[in-house]
Amino acid sequence: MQDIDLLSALASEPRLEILQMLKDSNLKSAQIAKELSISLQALTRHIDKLIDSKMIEKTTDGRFQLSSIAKVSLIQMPFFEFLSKNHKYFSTHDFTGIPPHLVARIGELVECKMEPDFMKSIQLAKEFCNNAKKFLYGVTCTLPMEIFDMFLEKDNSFQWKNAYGTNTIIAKGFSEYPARKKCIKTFSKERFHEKIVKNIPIVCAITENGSQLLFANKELGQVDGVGGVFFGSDEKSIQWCRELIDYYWSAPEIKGFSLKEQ
Amino acid sequence: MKWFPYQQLFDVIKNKNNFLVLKNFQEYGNLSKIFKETEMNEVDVKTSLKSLEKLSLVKKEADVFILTGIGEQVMKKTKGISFLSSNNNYFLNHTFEEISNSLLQRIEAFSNCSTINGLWPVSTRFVDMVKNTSEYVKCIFTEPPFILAEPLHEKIQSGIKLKILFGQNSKLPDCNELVEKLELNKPKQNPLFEKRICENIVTNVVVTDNGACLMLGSKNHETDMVNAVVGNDANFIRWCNDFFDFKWNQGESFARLRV
Repeated sequence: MQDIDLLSALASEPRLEILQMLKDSNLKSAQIAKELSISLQALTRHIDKLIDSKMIEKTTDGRFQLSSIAKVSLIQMPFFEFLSKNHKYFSTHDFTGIPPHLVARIGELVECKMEPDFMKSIQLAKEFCNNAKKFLYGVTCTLPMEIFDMFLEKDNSFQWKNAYGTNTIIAKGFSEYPARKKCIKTFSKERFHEKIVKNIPIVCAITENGSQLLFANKELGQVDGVGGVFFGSDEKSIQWCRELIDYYWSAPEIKGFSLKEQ
Repeated sequence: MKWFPYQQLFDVIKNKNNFLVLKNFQEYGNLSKIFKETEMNEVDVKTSLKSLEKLSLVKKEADVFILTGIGEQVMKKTKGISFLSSNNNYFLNHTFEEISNSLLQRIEAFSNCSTINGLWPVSTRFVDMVKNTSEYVKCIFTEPPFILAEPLHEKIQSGIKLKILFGQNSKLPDCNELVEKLELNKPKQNPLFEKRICENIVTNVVVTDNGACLMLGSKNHETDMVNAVVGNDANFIRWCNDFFDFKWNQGESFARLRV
């Protein structure tokens, strides 16, 4: 079974390390053995396994190089790493609301840190918004009213763009909240832009500094807020989240819909 | 030795029984079908389920095992990588060098594809795809095949949108029917037909609303239109569309081709 051969090739730390080493340059056996601190004899078993599974090839000058299959396989590793690191979280959460092409690239979130504590994650989320100087873009099924007070304290170039879903539930008084009403009345769409689109089962936000993401609870079909929040500060996670936000932002606007207050 | 957090995942799913249980769970969704399809005994299936449960690939809910979201995605990704391995004759001799990392991460798009080889099987596939399209045709060609001249011409006449991307390295003999039928060497503007040229093209593609045909460059970085990856599921069509858009955005409009 070719599937099993390939997985067997990958199910070994020395072999994974050999593949990572060959990403940077073609190497001879002696160089690989030295780097791994293993004997040539021990190395040969691993090399044979990698050749049999078509992951590496020998070049004309006697070095080893990655095959095109290995190069593409290694690009998938952050996906497996992200899911492995967070497998407990994903036993109760899933990818509802994430389009397939972004689920396939979930490895781009590998540098994100998952904060499991509910109260701490709320605190971090508040800091995340406060620390934004240029923009805050998001999609959400829930939002605290106080965020609009924060927006009014930002300087004139700050941009806010947020999409709500038809399933979004907000606190009573949200529509009449003074800071929000002031934002709607005072600022142009370049500065303050909101819209209601179809159902949004996730929460996702980015600023120039980072990203914030909650996945849907598998049973509820939307966020539960208690499982944990992913915070990222690297370019890849910000870009991934930006594309998720753009996916919802490009959905048709549902006009004349009032958000449910509870 | 470096630590790879996903090594344990591969260690579990490389086990033949575990892999079969997970694979059949994804395909059939219930235990009784797994017994039937795998011919495994109850003890082996239960042992596998325990191992898979530890890594949250399956979960027990009210005495029933279900595939988790993570289990489903792991299998999809594995199926995509397996496609490369199962068609290693093709992929070991071709390169993904023109394809962006963000597209390569979406390897599961290839899961339901097949490879075809031979000039006429590949060319006939183009013609069928173009004839069956009802919305659009997008092509990237180093050497546009004359066999498409009439089908493309007919489709434009019937209102189908056509986009063709060439490269500075594209070769166009002046006897090419495609040049004449589509009037590529004349500055005529047709709102349904857009053409652009970019710096260099090795990977060729034909995408329509009903299928896609991808021809990766050879290991020698040359265009190969004799071997192709073909598919008609939504994921693969979307992938090829995104690849087309990625290259299209590198190109510029031009008035006419010099042949």
